[in-house]
Amino acid sequence: MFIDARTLPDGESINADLCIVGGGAAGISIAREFTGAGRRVVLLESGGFSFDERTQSLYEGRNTGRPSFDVDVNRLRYFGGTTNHWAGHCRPLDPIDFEARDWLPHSGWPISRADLEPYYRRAQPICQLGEYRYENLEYFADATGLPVLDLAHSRLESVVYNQSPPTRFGTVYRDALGAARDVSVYLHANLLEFETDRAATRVTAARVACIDGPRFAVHARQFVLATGGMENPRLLLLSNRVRPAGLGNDHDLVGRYFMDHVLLRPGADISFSVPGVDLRLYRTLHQVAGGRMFSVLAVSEARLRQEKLSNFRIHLVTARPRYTKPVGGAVSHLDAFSHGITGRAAGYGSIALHLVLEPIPNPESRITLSAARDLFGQRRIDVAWRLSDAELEHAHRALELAAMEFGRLGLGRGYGELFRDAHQWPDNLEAGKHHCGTTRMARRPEDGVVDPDCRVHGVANLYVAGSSVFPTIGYANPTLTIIALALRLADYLKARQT
Amino acid sequence: MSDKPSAPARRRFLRGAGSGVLALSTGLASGCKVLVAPDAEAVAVELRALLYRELLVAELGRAWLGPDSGASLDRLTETLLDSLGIRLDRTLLLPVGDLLEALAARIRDDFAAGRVASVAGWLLAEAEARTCAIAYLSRRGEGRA
Repeated sequence: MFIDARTLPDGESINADLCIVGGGAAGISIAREFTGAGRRVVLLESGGFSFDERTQSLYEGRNTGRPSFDVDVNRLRYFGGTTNHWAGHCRPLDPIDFEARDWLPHSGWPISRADLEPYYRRAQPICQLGEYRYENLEYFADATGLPVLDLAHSRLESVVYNQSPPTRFGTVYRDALGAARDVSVYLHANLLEFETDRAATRVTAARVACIDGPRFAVHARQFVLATGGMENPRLLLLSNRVRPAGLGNDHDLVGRYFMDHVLLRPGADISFSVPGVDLRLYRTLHQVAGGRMFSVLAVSEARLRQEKLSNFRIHLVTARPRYTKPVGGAVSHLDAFSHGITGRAAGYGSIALHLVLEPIPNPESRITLSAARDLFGQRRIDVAWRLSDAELEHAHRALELAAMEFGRLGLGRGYGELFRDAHQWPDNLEAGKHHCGTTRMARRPEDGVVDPDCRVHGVANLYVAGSSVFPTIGYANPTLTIIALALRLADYLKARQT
Repeated sequence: MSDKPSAPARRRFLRGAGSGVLALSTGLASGCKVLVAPDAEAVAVELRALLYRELLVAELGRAWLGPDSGASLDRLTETLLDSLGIRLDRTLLLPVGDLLEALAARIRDDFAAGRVASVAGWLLAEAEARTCAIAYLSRRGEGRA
């Protein structure tokens, strides 16, 4: 059921078995798992059913890192969270993403892809995707009748991406949660802080406030913080009555290792050297096996290990090229010869390479509390997204590998700012708007904020859901992994709370 | 796994390749043609003919050489031909089609092996960057660069 928290009497005390903070992809996925489970579940959502400027203003923060990072875009603070405008790209992380890679400092999850596999499969229909066939591009190529680029698998591979409608969680799952008798969704309910026992080893209550409305408390046996990769650390840092550094922050890790995907759109353009290059499998969506899919280029695992690169993917996108003179046309006679065809160049068009690069975990890339305050008087955040020279080198190499493949295949030549100057980020560097790593998962509290079960180290009944627990983020969009982890956490909580 | 695609696979990837393009096959245009002088200038003229957009190619060639380059046409041509397995002093009566075939193969191999050059924002195979430079020097020799 839905309850407008603004109608509660001031000072109300609510009791529950489980209190979930945050009504986005993670929080809603967990709440759905508890419908009909016979537990009293409270879900606290800051917003209502639609966008509200004052509520949204609670997210405002300051960027103190790279100028290309905008703190105030991307997140949405109402029921459904950021799924209210997500793009819908889905793919699981690769097995190698979970490994400790000696060339990526601070990499390595305490769980494996195999541990998450059953949850990925369960997450698939939640995102309204088709059959779970991420490792079988041939199936989609056969189904569509479209060719797959004949890439050197020692370099790049074509991989399957799924496309969600995209699922608006706040719309699609609204009725089900509204009808659930054991799940109470409190709208307009903003968590101010967690209250704890004297040793801060157990959360006793969530202290909640409505804008221009009552303040109340939720007492529960278990708490899940699911408010996103920026707000999760903020709320832990704000919960500092007992521990001045904040909850779960005994080792000064909350807010550190802030990561986002490195985007270059485009990173390069390919000027085609021959006519009729068929990239439909990559550049458009295809309805297959009950869902929509497309393909992207991704670095092969062999190449990742050999060259010690960050993981990356490249979208092939129809867009106006950045070059002015198509070099593909200049070499068209040579490439046409390679294909056994005849022809003279006129200008065969182009394709843009949009790079999505995995960032390297960096403790100095971080979210901290600022001196500025929101309308509840709560401290806002400073966000310092930092990249290293290594990411720049990896971005350059990623685009080089792709351009070399188009050249080797005799399809065209690559042009990009990084081919002109490999030592400086191009002006179009962007963040992927995937906020990760700020409550990273690790076996030891010295290495991470949450344990492999997503429980905050040192706090018996507080769990974190969402991309803030990712120790590394691969190249895949995070939503499917967020949901898989949420389902895994729900199973864990159900098994423990009897 | 091989880094080289099969020829049928490459062809399969092209939709309607060859349709609507001006006929200029190696057989028609260059296969029957042979080099009549075993020197760098003669080779350079034929190499230039294998590329289109002469001004653009010259621009790339000049950029690859860099400012104040003392590169000589003879030396560059000899180096390129060496990489193609062709000796400059044996180019008399060499079919231009063979030159095209060797250069196209070398470019593919360069990309496969990572022998590439960044030239004015473009990623070129070393052999084609060198060919562009030869084209530039050849044009310059004619007073047209």
